[in-house]
Amino acid sequence: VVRSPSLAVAMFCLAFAVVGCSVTGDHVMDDTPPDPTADGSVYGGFPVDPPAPDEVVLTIEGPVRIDFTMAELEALAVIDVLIDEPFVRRRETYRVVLLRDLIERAGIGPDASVTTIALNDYRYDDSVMALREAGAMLAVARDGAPIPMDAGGPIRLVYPGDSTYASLLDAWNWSLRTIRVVEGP
Amino acid sequence: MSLLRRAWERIVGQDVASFFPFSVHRLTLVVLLMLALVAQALLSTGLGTPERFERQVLLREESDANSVMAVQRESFNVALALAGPSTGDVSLRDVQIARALLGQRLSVVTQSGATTLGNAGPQYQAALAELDAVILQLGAVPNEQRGLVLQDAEEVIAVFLSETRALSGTFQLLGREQIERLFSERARLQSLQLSVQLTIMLLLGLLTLSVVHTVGRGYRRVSQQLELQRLDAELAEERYSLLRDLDAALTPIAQAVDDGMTSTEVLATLATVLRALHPGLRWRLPGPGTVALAPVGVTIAPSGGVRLVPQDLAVLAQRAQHVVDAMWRRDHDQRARESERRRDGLTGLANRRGFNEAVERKLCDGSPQPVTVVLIDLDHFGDINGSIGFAGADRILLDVAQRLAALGRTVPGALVARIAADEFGLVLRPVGRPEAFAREVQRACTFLSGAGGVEAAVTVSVGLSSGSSLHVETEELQRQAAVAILIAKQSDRSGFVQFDPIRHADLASSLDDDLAIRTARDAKEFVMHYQPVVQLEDGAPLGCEALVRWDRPGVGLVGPGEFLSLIERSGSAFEFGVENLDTVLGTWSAGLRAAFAGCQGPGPFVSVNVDAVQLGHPGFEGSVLSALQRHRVEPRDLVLELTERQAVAHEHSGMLSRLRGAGVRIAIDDFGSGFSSLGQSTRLPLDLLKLDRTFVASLGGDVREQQLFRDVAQFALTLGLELIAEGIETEAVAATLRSAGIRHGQGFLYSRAVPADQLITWVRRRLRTGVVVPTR
Repeated sequence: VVRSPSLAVAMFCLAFAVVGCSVTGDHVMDDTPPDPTADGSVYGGFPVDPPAPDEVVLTIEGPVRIDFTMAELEALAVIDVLIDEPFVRRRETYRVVLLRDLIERAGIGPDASVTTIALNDYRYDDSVMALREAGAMLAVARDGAPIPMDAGGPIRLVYPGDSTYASLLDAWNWSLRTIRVVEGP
Repeated sequence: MSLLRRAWERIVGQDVASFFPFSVHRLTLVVLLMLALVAQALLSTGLGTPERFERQVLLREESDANSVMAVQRESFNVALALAGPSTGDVSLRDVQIARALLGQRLSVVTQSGATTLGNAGPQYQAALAELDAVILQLGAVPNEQRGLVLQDAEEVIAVFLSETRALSGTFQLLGREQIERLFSERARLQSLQLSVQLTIMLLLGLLTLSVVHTVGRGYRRVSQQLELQRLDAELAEERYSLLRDLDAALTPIAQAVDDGMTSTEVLATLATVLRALHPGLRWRLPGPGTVALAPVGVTIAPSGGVRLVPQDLAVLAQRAQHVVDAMWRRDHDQRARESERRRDGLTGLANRRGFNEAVERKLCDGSPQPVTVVLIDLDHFGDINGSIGFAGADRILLDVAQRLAALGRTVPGALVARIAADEFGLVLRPVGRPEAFAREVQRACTFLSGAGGVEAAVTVSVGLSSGSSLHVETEELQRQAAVAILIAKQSDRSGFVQFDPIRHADLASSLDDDLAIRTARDAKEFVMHYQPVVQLEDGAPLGCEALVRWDRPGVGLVGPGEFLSLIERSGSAFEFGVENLDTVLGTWSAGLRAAFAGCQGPGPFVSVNVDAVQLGHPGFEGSVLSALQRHRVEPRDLVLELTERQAVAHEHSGMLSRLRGAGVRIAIDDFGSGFSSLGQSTRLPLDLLKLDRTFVASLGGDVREQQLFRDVAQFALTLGLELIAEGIETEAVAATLRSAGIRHGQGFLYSRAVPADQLITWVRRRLRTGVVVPTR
């Protein structure tokens, strides 16, 4: 097959380059996700009591202030989406309501900026426009059950796989509690 | 593209494919190079850049360090939640939520693939486990006892807080690890890029080498071709200069061949010149002997230092060969001409010259045995000629020649020749008695011929003479044989005579004249001259009279009056007449008639004198008509001049009338000289009267003569005869003739008898100028 010395040398060089590349990149990725059920107690601690039926789980503070109970949110969520969960690296089915619909309901315009606040006071700020384009969704159930607190429950923000925010981990706010207008109408 | 290719071919002189031959390995190199370039482009602009990689890593995955920091934060939140119950404001649910959020953090799978719990380290894990026990205990007791539980757990919480603070060190450690990993990742990518770049450079180098190699090879090939072309040009130059030198050297030799240089000299010169031409060529020329036999090839053998190919040598050899060929052709032609001069055209036998030489050779060959000369003369050949025509006569001559040649072959060394029109000769040394051989000859040549559709008996007279070189000369031997033949002819015309010096001595001297006539005829010493006949009024030419002259060697021109009697006496008057008529008509049709074409009068004519012997010969009429036919002469162009006596003698034969009927014109010559009878003339079949010179000369005399002349002229004109006055020498006579009504004449006043070509010139001048200028 190799009829000329120059060709042989060329092929050797190419092979060297490829092998050298793979040898240099020697940090071995272990893609096996840890099994949460095996030592779930170690991670999650203890089961947390579910919120009371009249307990407000989400407050949107826009021109109109709206409080949502869990039942109200579940009534709004009618879409099931497959999400690649980036923190535990698993594919999971979430029942979601589009964040856009909730924000509009609170009278927040597309030019406004909002801050999303978690139960532990973690905050992520962004424009309504960017969140709409990223396809932001509020998940209320996972795999047909309420989302456990140690898995970001009871409600959390998720993004579809084709969204630019799929890899923007800061935007995936867990245990969301409040959405507040910080700027604009 | 095709334009580029054409431009390339114009400049380099070769097509691109032959200069850059297609090669699989170069094509592979190009493909590999393309792939490497694509890889490099992807690495530099696409996913592979370190910055992008880092960004991806940072955003998409939770780094180990960040996760630890988040765990620290959540851990403090748990501790804060626990602080609530100690202040009496503790909500177990808040503690549970804080712990759940911590659990969330601990379950995160980090970038390195480890769990955050693992990253936090065993001491933290242990502290958390003890804290979890406290929280469990909190849930197990009523709300009011929780403060006590927390008091007891103060130590545990302190340890947990201490381990939580210690996470900062872990965070720093992991951060450093992360940075190091990023750097190593960056280094890996850079090394990958470097590898690709090196590969590109290497491939480029190889490709360049390959192209340089191919271009170099193409260049070498082109330059080799150029070198070959240069050598070709040099060779052509050498060849050309050699050829030019050769031609320059050969030209004078070829000239010398034309100028008659002998073949030996030519070959010697040629050899010298060719040797000097080029030191590397060895020429081989034919020797003089071989050249004499046949054309022999000139060849060249090249030695060292000669770059010419065989074809070049062949060309050079051919040039020299041309000269040799020319020389050979010249010699060959010369020999052929020599041979031709000794050969008779009709029979292919030797002619008189060849015969003479043969006799001479035989006499001088040193043999003591006598040489015999046999002369054979065909009897009545003039008659035969007249009756069966020349073609038939020629066939008879050929027949005789074959018979004699067959006979000659029986005797070794015999030579047969045709030495005159009707005379053959044999020279030999007979085996037996000479006279026996002569008889044999006579028998062989006596036969009946059917040639020409007419039966003719052929007989010969044979004269024989023998002698040896001791006693006799060549000429004498032949003369003796000729005398013998004359004797034989005179005696009975059928015998043979052997010359006997004693018996025939007297006869020989008396036969000298005859012999002279024979010899003169054989040597063609009799020639025809022509005197113009003109219109007296203006001197315009009308025709001419043919007059025979003997151009005798050493004597000059002799008129017929001095030799006609000799010819008649020799018995050959008829043949003589036939020959002369043949000559005249040949000359007439060959150009003389054309000269008279523009003349006025009754039509151009040539008149020939006929003597009594001819008229009396039975073959005369036939010979005239066949001669006219042979030379394609119109019969009315011919005028036969007879004397009045001859005309009267043949009045009743009807022959003259028949000739006139055929168109031939008849003239009475010498009218008015002695025997003249106007009365007779009226009965004769005539066209012309030629007034005799003596009659014309008398015009200068007395009145009575003049009156008589006028009467005669008037009478002739009345009969419808044309009158031609002969012998006009003065203008006075011419004037008198004109006044007498005579319109035509000839004489020295106009022109003497001259050879045909001179007459032609004379006639042309006359016709052109149209001026009557008497010439002498």
